[in-house]
Amino acid sequence: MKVDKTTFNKEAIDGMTLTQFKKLYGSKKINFTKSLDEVYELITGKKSKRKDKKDTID
Amino acid sequence: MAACCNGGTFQNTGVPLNQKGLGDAVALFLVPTVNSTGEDNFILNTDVLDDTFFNSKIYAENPQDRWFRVGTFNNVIDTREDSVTETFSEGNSAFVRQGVRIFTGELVNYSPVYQGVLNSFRCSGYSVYGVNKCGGLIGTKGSDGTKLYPTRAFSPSTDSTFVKATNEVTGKVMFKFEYDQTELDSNLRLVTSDNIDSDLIRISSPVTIDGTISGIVATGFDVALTLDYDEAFTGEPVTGFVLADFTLFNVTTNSSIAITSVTESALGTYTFVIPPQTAGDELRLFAVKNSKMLEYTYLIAV
Repeated sequence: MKVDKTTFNKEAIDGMTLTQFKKLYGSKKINFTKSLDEVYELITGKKSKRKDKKDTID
Repeated sequence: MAACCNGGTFQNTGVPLNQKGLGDAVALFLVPTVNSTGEDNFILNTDVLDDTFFNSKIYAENPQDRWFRVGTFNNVIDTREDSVTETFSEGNSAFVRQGVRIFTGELVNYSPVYQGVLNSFRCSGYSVYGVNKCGGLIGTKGSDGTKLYPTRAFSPSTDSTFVKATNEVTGKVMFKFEYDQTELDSNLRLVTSDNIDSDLIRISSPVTIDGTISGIVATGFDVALTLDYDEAFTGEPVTGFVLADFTLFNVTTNSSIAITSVTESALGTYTFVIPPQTAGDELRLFAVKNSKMLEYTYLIAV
């Protein structure tokens, strides 16, 4: 799966929690046009907790 | 080949209506005689000779399994020298051994780099499939009738020479090798282009690109891919590679590594994210795409 200039191994990302994903990619100098939450959601299809909370409030 | 006789048995001398006369090869596949598993490389009579087959050979990750296509050649000469005979005082002469078969050909407008590429075959045991001008494949039949082997070259004879262009001639690389003396012309066989679903005249081998590794951390590294070839200084960046084009292997643990992601962070520079590796492990990176191949490039995990 491709997001911006990055091709991801979906299976590998599926095996990570959002926290692990953000910790890993937060330490890399990779510029995404989306937030890491959004990138994670795009790859895995799992909604982040932040998003869930927002949905609940809405 | 010494003077071997066929046990005194005469063989019938009739011929079928449509014999296949062999022409000179205009291109070659230089094939390691022995593959990565220690067996001879060959074509089986059940192999489907299509683009998938030939691409799997040309782009094989392990060089021992790879077929290296060379050509198209000009001014090909592929002839066997006169047989060696012993002449007796009475005037008769007896056959002693066959002459050496020598291939020479010219690759017009090839870079001097290619001379070094071809000479790299001198020290390794290789064999040769010829490609005739119709796109047929010439090799040597196996004894059981189910295999077509590449014809063995006598690799120490391999020699290539770069000829500079002048007002009179084009620049070129000349290539020469001798066939192994144990190979017999009578065993040469042709797979006609009618039985090959691939254009062996146009098919080509990948060019080697260079990879410079940097920024190694526990969970990744960067690699800058460039096509240096005959550039005096750093060559042009190689762009457009994606995760599927790379293979990463942990040599120390003898296991494949599932790359997490690959980002082209700058033109031709790729940032790898990988599962954490044990510090000190040796990793091997390989990549291939669009006729460009990054040969095994090694790095040490930190």
